[in-house]
Amino acid sequence: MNRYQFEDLISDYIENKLPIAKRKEFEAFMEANPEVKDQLESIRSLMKSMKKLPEVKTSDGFTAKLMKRVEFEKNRPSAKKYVTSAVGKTYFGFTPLYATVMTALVIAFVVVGMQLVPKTNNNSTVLPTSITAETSIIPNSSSPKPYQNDDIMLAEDNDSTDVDGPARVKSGQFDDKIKLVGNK
Amino acid sequence: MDKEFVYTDEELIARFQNGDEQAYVELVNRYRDRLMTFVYRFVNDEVIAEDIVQDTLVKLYTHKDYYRNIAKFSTWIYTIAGNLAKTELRKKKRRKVTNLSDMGSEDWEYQIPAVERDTGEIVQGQFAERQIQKAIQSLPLHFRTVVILRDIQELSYEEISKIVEVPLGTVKSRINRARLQLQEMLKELR
Repeated sequence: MNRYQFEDLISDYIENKLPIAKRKEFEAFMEANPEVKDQLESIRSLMKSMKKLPEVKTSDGFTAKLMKRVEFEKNRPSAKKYVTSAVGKTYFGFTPLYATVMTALVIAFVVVGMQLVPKTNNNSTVLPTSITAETSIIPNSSSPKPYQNDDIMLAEDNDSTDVDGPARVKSGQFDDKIKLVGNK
Repeated sequence: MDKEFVYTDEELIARFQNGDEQAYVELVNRYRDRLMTFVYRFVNDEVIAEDIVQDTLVKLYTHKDYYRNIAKFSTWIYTIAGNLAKTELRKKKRRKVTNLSDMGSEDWEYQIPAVERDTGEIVQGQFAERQIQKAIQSLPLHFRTVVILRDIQELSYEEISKIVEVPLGTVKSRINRARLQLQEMLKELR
Protein backbone atom coordinates (compact mmCIF):
# COMPACT_ATOMS: atom_id res chain seq x y z
CA MET A 1 0.00 0.00 0.00
CA ASN A 2 1.21 3.51 -0.77
CA ARG A 3 0.11 6.93 0.51
CA TYR A 4 -2.44 7.48 -2.27
CA GLN A 5 -4.07 4.12 -1.68
CA PHE A 6 -4.12 4.86 2.02
CA GLU A 7 -5.87 8.19 1.46
CA ASP A 8 -8.44 6.59 -0.82
CA LEU A 9 -9.45 4.26 1.98
CA ILE A 10 -9.56 6.72 4.90
CA SER A 11 -13.33 7.31 4.82
CA ASP A 12 -14.11 3.62 4.42
CA TYR A 13 -11.84 2.86 7.38
CA ILE A 14 -13.42 5.50 9.62
CA GLU A 15 -16.94 4.37 8.65
CA ASN A 16 -15.94 0.75 9.23
CA LYS A 17 -16.66 -0.36 5.70
CA LEU A 18 -13.36 -2.06 4.86
CA PRO A 19 -13.12 -5.82 4.53
CA ILE A 20 -10.96 -7.43 7.24
CA ALA A 21 -8.00 -8.13 4.97
CA LYS A 22 -7.94 -4.58 3.65
CA ARG A 23 -8.38 -3.20 7.17
CA LYS A 24 -5.33 -5.12 8.40
CA GLU A 25 -3.30 -3.86 5.47
CA PHE A 26 -4.47 -0.32 6.22
CA GLU A 27 -3.50 -0.59 9.90
CA ALA A 28 -0.14 -2.10 9.01
CA PHE A 29 0.58 0.90 6.80
CA MET A 30 -0.38 3.23 9.66
CA GLU A 31 1.98 1.42 12.03
CA ALA A 32 4.79 1.82 9.57
CA ASN A 33 4.00 5.49 8.86
CA PRO A 34 3.01 7.33 12.06
CA GLU A 35 2.47 10.65 10.23
CA VAL A 36 -0.56 9.20 8.37
CA LYS A 37 -2.10 8.33 11.71
CA ASP A 38 -2.30 12.06 12.48
CA GLN A 39 -4.01 12.63 9.16
CA LEU A 40 -6.55 9.93 9.94
CA GLU A 41 -7.29 11.35 13.39
CA SER A 42 -7.55 14.83 11.95
CA ILE A 43 -10.20 13.72 9.45
CA ARG A 44 -12.07 11.77 12.10
CA SER A 45 -12.13 14.89 14.26
CA LEU A 46 -13.26 17.04 11.34
CA MET A 47 -16.17 14.71 10.64
CA LYS A 48 -17.27 14.86 14.27
CA SER A 49 -17.05 18.64 14.23
CA MET A 50 -19.13 18.93 11.08
CA LYS A 51 -21.85 16.82 12.66
CA LYS A 52 -21.84 19.19 15.63
CA LEU A 53 -22.23 22.34 13.54
CA PRO A 54 -25.35 24.14 14.74
CA GLU A 55 -28.53 23.96 12.73
CA VAL A 56 -29.24 27.22 10.92
CA LYS A 57 -32.79 28.34 11.64
CA THR A 58 -35.10 30.28 9.38
CA SER A 59 -36.24 33.70 10.57
CA ASP A 60 -39.39 34.22 12.66
CA GLY A 61 -41.45 35.58 9.81
CA PHE A 62 -40.50 32.77 7.48
CA THR A 63 -43.77 30.83 7.50
CA ALA A 64 -45.95 33.95 7.22
CA LYS A 65 -43.90 35.18 4.27
CA LEU A 66 -44.06 31.75 2.66
CA MET A 67 -47.83 31.53 3.00
CA LYS A 68 -48.18 34.97 1.40
CA ARG A 69 -46.13 33.78 -1.53
CA VAL A 70 -48.17 30.60 -1.77
CA GLU A 71 -51.39 32.64 -1.88
CA PHE A 72 -49.89 34.83 -4.57
CA GLU A 73 -48.85 31.78 -6.61
CA LYS A 74 -52.30 30.26 -6.19
CA ASN A 75 -53.97 33.32 -7.68
CA ARG A 76 -51.41 33.93 -10.41
CA PRO A 77 -52.99 32.90 -13.75
CA SER A 78 -49.78 31.51 -15.25
CA ALA A 79 -49.17 29.43 -12.16
CA LYS A 80 -52.68 28.02 -12.00
CA LYS A 81 -51.88 25.32 -14.49
CA TYR A 82 -49.33 23.94 -12.02
CA VAL A 83 -51.31 24.53 -8.86
CA THR A 84 -54.57 23.08 -10.11
CA SER A 85 -53.20 20.26 -12.22
CA ALA A 86 -53.99 16.87 -10.79
CA VAL A 87 -52.34 13.51 -11.31
CA GLY A 88 -53.80 11.56 -14.24
CA LYS A 89 -55.49 14.46 -16.06
CA THR A 90 -54.15 13.30 -19.36
CA TYR A 91 -55.74 11.21 -22.06
CA PHE A 92 -53.36 8.68 -23.62
CA GLY A 93 -50.53 10.94 -22.56
CA PHE A 94 -52.11 14.10 -24.04
CA THR A 95 -53.41 17.06 -22.12
CA PRO A 96 -57.14 17.74 -22.68
CA LEU A 97 -56.36 20.48 -25.22
CA TYR A 98 -54.00 18.31 -27.28
CA ALA A 99 -56.35 15.33 -26.96
CA THR A 100 -59.18 17.41 -28.46
CA VAL A 101 -57.02 18.64 -31.32
CA MET A 102 -55.74 15.13 -32.05
CA THR A 103 -59.27 13.68 -32.01
CA ALA A 104 -60.49 16.37 -34.44
CA LEU A 105 -57.56 15.63 -36.76
CA VAL A 106 -58.24 11.88 -36.75
CA ILE A 107 -61.96 12.43 -37.50
CA ALA A 108 -61.10 14.84 -40.33
CA PHE A 109 -58.64 12.32 -41.79
CA VAL A 110 -61.22 9.53 -41.73
CA VAL A 111 -63.93 11.70 -43.32
CA VAL A 112 -61.64 12.92 -46.11
CA GLY A 113 -60.41 9.37 -46.67
CA MET A 114 -63.98 8.11 -47.05
CA GLN A 115 -64.72 10.81 -49.60
CA LEU A 116 -61.82 9.67 -51.75
CA VAL A 117 -62.91 5.99 -51.92
CA PRO A 118 -65.34 5.43 -54.91
CA LYS A 119 -68.71 3.85 -54.26
CA THR A 120 -68.93 0.21 -55.51
CA ASN A 121 -71.36 -2.74 -55.60
CA ASN A 122 -70.93 -5.23 -52.87
CA ASN A 123 -70.12 -8.29 -55.05
CA SER A 124 -67.86 -6.83 -57.67
CA THR A 125 -64.33 -5.69 -57.86
CA VAL A 126 -63.66 -2.10 -58.59
CA LEU A 127 -62.92 -1.35 -62.22
CA PRO A 128 -62.32 1.94 -63.90
CA THR A 129 -65.37 3.32 -65.69
CA SER A 130 -63.71 2.95 -69.13
CA ILE A 131 -63.37 -0.81 -68.66
CA THR A 132 -66.88 -1.26 -67.39
CA ALA A 133 -68.12 0.62 -70.48
CA GLU A 134 -66.18 -1.70 -72.79
CA THR A 135 -67.46 -4.86 -71.14
CA SER A 136 -70.99 -3.66 -71.57
CA ILE A 137 -70.71 -3.84 -75.40
CA ILE A 138 -69.28 -7.38 -75.55
CA PRO A 139 -72.01 -9.57 -77.00
CA ASN A 140 -73.39 -12.20 -74.72
CA SER A 141 -72.51 -15.78 -75.56
CA SER A 142 -72.98 -19.06 -73.82
CA SER A 143 -69.24 -19.67 -73.44
CA PRO A 144 -67.38 -16.44 -73.50
CA LYS A 145 -63.89 -16.79 -74.93
CA PRO A 146 -61.58 -13.85 -75.12
CA TYR A 147 -59.74 -15.33 -78.14
CA GLN A 148 -61.84 -17.08 -80.81
CA ASN A 149 -58.89 -18.38 -82.83
CA ASP A 150 -56.88 -21.06 -81.04
CA ASP A 151 -54.05 -20.72 -83.54
CA ILE A 152 -53.28 -17.32 -82.28
CA MET A 153 -52.84 -18.73 -78.81
CA LEU A 154 -50.63 -21.52 -80.13
CA ALA A 155 -48.58 -19.08 -82.15
CA GLU A 156 -48.02 -16.99 -79.10
CA ASP A 157 -46.91 -20.03 -77.16
CA ASN A 158 -44.04 -20.57 -79.59
CA ASP A 159 -40.78 -19.33 -78.24
CA SER A 160 -39.39 -16.65 -80.52
CA THR A 161 -35.86 -17.55 -79.42
CA ASP A 162 -36.29 -21.16 -80.61
CA VAL A 163 -34.33 -20.84 -83.89
CA ASP A 164 -34.89 -24.48 -84.86
CA GLY A 165 -38.64 -24.38 -84.45
CA PRO A 166 -41.32 -24.22 -87.18
CA ALA A 167 -41.73 -20.51 -86.89
CA ARG A 168 -38.19 -19.96 -88.12
CA VAL A 169 -37.97 -17.65 -91.14
CA LYS A 170 -36.91 -19.55 -94.18
CA SER A 171 -33.51 -18.56 -95.53
CA GLY A 172 -33.74 -16.26 -98.53
CA GLN A 173 -37.29 -15.07 -97.79
CA PHE A 174 -36.12 -11.47 -97.35
CA ASP A 175 -33.06 -11.72 -99.59
CA ASP A 176 -34.20 -8.90 -101.83
CA LYS A 177 -34.58 -6.55 -98.92
CA ILE A 178 -31.77 -7.49 -96.62
CA LYS A 179 -28.19 -7.82 -97.68
CA LEU A 180 -26.36 -10.17 -95.39
CA VAL A 181 -22.60 -9.94 -94.83
CA GLY A 182 -22.01 -13.33 -96.47
CA ASN A 183 -24.02 -12.52 -99.62
CA LYS A 184 -21.95 -11.01 -102.31
CA MET B 1 -34.38 14.77 12.70
CA ASP B 2 -34.96 11.49 14.44
CA LYS B 3 -38.35 12.48 15.86
CA GLU B 4 -41.20 10.02 15.55
CA PHE B 5 -43.94 11.38 13.34
CA VAL B 6 -47.52 10.19 12.97
CA TYR B 7 -47.22 10.39 9.21
CA THR B 8 -44.16 9.73 7.11
CA ASP B 9 -43.04 12.38 4.63
CA GLU B 10 -44.35 10.24 1.78
CA GLU B 11 -47.77 9.93 3.42
CA LEU B 12 -47.88 13.68 3.95
CA ILE B 13 -47.07 14.54 0.35
CA ALA B 14 -49.71 12.02 -0.77
CA ARG B 15 -52.27 13.74 1.46
CA PHE B 16 -51.18 17.11 0.12
CA GLN B 17 -51.53 15.88 -3.45
CA ASN B 18 -55.09 14.92 -2.55
CA GLY B 19 -55.84 18.45 -1.40
CA ASP B 20 -54.92 18.42 2.31
CA GLU B 21 -53.23 21.80 2.78
CA GLN B 22 -52.44 21.03 6.42
CA ALA B 23 -50.09 18.30 5.18
CA TYR B 24 -48.16 20.98 3.29
CA VAL B 25 -47.79 23.05 6.46
CA GLU B 26 -46.50 19.98 8.28
CA LEU B 27 -43.93 19.32 5.55
CA VAL B 28 -42.82 22.95 5.71
CA ASN B 29 -42.36 22.69 9.47
CA ARG B 30 -40.35 19.51 9.11
CA TYR B 31 -38.04 20.70 6.38
CA ARG B 32 -37.58 24.44 6.61
CA ASP B 33 -34.65 24.36 9.09
CA ARG B 34 -33.04 21.29 7.56
CA LEU B 35 -33.13 22.93 4.15
CA MET B 36 -31.96 26.22 5.62
CA THR B 37 -28.90 24.52 7.13
CA PHE B 38 -28.11 22.73 3.88
CA VAL B 39 -28.50 25.81 1.70
CA TYR B 40 -26.71 28.14 4.11
CA ARG B 41 -23.70 25.81 4.29
CA PHE B 42 -23.77 25.81 0.52
CA VAL B 43 -24.13 29.52 -0.30
CA ASN B 44 -22.76 31.04 2.92
CA ASP B 45 -25.33 33.83 3.05
CA GLU B 46 -28.34 33.67 5.37
CA VAL B 47 -30.56 36.05 3.39
CA ILE B 48 -29.92 34.28 0.10
CA ALA B 49 -30.28 30.91 1.79
CA GLU B 50 -33.66 31.84 3.22
CA ASP B 51 -34.85 33.06 -0.19
CA ILE B 52 -33.76 29.77 -1.74
CA VAL B 53 -35.59 27.78 0.94
CA GLN B 54 -38.69 29.89 0.30
CA ASP B 55 -38.42 29.20 -3.43
CA THR B 56 -37.99 25.49 -2.72
CA LEU B 57 -41.10 25.34 -0.55
CA VAL B 58 -43.14 27.41 -3.03
CA LYS B 59 -42.06 24.93 -5.71
CA LEU B 60 -43.20 22.13 -3.44
CA TYR B 61 -46.61 23.79 -3.40
CA THR B 62 -46.91 24.58 -7.10
CA HIS B 63 -45.29 21.39 -8.39
CA LYS B 64 -46.60 18.90 -5.85
CA ASP B 65 -47.97 16.63 -8.56
CA TYR B 66 -44.53 16.23 -10.07
CA TYR B 67 -43.50 14.14 -7.08
CA ARG B 68 -43.91 10.41 -7.71
CA ASN B 69 -43.69 7.93 -4.90
CA ILE B 70 -40.69 6.14 -6.40
CA ALA B 71 -38.11 8.09 -4.41
CA LYS B 72 -38.00 9.38 -0.86
CA PHE B 73 -39.58 12.78 -0.39
CA SER B 74 -36.38 14.07 1.24
CA THR B 75 -34.41 13.13 -1.89
CA TRP B 76 -36.82 15.10 -4.05
CA ILE B 77 -36.88 18.22 -1.88
CA TYR B 78 -33.09 18.25 -1.42
CA THR B 79 -32.68 17.94 -5.19
CA ILE B 80 -34.88 21.01 -5.74
CA ALA B 81 -33.05 23.01 -3.06
CA GLY B 82 -29.64 21.94 -4.35
CA ASN B 83 -30.47 22.92 -7.92
CA LEU B 84 -31.79 26.32 -6.85
CA ALA B 85 -28.69 26.89 -4.73
CA LYS B 86 -26.40 26.02 -7.64
CA THR B 87 -28.33 28.35 -9.93
CA GLU B 88 -27.97 31.14 -7.36
CA LEU B 89 -24.23 30.54 -7.07
CA ARG B 90 -23.85 30.71 -10.84
CA LYS B 91 -25.75 34.02 -10.91
CA LYS B 92 -23.58 35.29 -8.07
CA LYS B 93 -20.45 34.29 -9.95
CA ARG B 94 -21.65 36.17 -13.02
CA ARG B 95 -22.27 39.27 -10.96
CA LYS B 96 -18.70 38.92 -9.73
CA VAL B 97 -19.50 40.08 -6.25
CA THR B 98 -16.49 39.72 -4.02
CA ASN B 99 -17.39 38.06 -0.78
CA LEU B 100 -15.62 36.17 1.95
CA SER B 101 -15.82 32.88 0.11
CA ASP B 102 -13.62 34.31 -2.62
CA MET B 103 -10.77 34.98 -0.20
CA GLY B 104 -7.66 32.88 -0.19
CA SER B 105 -6.33 31.11 2.86
CA GLU B 106 -4.13 34.12 3.73
CA ASP B 107 -7.29 36.26 4.04
CA TRP B 108 -8.78 33.79 6.46
CA GLU B 109 -5.70 33.89 8.59
CA TYR B 110 -6.06 37.64 8.89
CA GLN B 111 -9.74 37.45 9.71
CA ILE B 112 -9.75 34.44 11.99
CA PRO B 113 -6.80 34.23 14.30
CA ALA B 114 -5.88 30.63 14.95
CA VAL B 115 -5.29 30.00 18.61
CA GLU B 116 -5.67 26.26 19.10
CA ARG B 117 -3.15 23.71 17.93
CA ASP B 118 -5.14 20.61 17.14
CA THR B 119 -8.00 20.40 14.61
CA GLY B 120 -10.04 18.53 17.18
CA GLU B 121 -9.69 21.41 19.63
CA ILE B 122 -10.24 24.15 17.05
CA VAL B 123 -13.66 22.92 16.09
CA GLN B 124 -15.10 23.36 19.56
CA GLY B 125 -15.60 27.10 19.35
CA GLN B 126 -17.29 29.71 17.25
CA PHE B 127 -14.12 30.43 15.29
CA ALA B 128 -13.90 26.81 14.42
CA GLU B 129 -17.38 26.84 12.97
CA ARG B 130 -16.46 29.82 10.82
CA GLN B 131 -13.27 28.16 9.73
CA ILE B 132 -15.07 25.04 8.66
CA GLN B 133 -17.71 27.11 6.89
CA LYS B 134 -15.04 29.01 4.97
CA ALA B 135 -13.22 25.82 4.12
CA ILE B 136 -16.44 24.32 2.77
CA GLN B 137 -16.94 27.40 0.59
CA SER B 138 -13.58 26.90 -1.04
CA LEU B 139 -14.45 23.36 -2.15
CA PRO B 140 -15.53 22.81 -5.75
CA LEU B 141 -19.34 22.61 -6.02
CA HIS B 142 -19.47 18.87 -6.68
CA PHE B 143 -17.40 18.21 -3.54
CA ARG B 144 -19.24 20.79 -1.46
CA THR B 145 -22.69 19.35 -2.14
CA VAL B 146 -21.83 15.78 -1.19
CA VAL B 147 -19.83 16.57 1.92
CA ILE B 148 -22.60 18.82 3.30
CA LEU B 149 -25.23 16.19 2.61
CA ARG B 150 -23.13 13.47 4.23
CA ASP B 151 -21.33 15.08 7.16
CA ILE B 152 -23.79 17.84 8.11
CA GLN B 153 -27.16 16.54 6.93
CA GLU B 154 -26.17 12.93 7.65
CA LEU B 155 -27.89 11.45 4.61
CA SER B 156 -27.00 7.97 3.38
CA TYR B 157 -24.64 7.47 0.44
CA GLU B 158 -27.51 5.98 -1.56
CA GLU B 159 -29.71 9.00 -0.98
CA ILE B 160 -26.90 11.40 -1.90
CA SER B 161 -26.28 9.42 -5.06
CA LYS B 162 -29.91 9.96 -6.07
CA ILE B 163 -29.87 13.66 -5.18
CA VAL B 164 -26.74 14.52 -7.14
CA GLU B 165 -27.49 11.91 -9.82
CA VAL B 166 -24.06 10.32 -9.89
CA PRO B 167 -23.10 6.68 -9.20
CA LEU B 168 -22.57 5.53 -5.63
CA GLY B 169 -18.84 4.90 -6.13
CA THR B 170 -18.37 8.44 -7.42
CA VAL B 171 -20.22 9.85 -4.41
CA LYS B 172 -17.99 7.91 -1.99
CA SER B 173 -14.88 9.00 -3.80
CA ARG B 174 -15.99 12.66 -3.87
CA ILE B 175 -16.80 12.63 -0.16
CA ASN B 176 -13.41 11.15 0.68
CA ARG B 177 -11.61 13.70 -1.51
CA ALA B 178 -13.65 16.55 0.00
CA ARG B 179 -12.72 15.46 3.53
CA LEU B 180 -9.05 15.26 2.60
CA GLN B 181 -9.17 18.75 1.09
CA LEU B 182 -10.98 20.17 4.13
CA GLN B 183 -8.48 18.56 6.47
CA GLU B 184 -5.62 20.00 4.45
CA MET B 185 -7.11 23.51 4.49
CA LEU B 186 -7.88 23.47 8.20
CA LYS B 187 -4.38 22.19 8.92
CA GLU B 188 -2.96 25.27 7.15
CA LEU B 189 -4.98 27.52 9.42
CA ARG B 190 -3.58 26.11 12.64
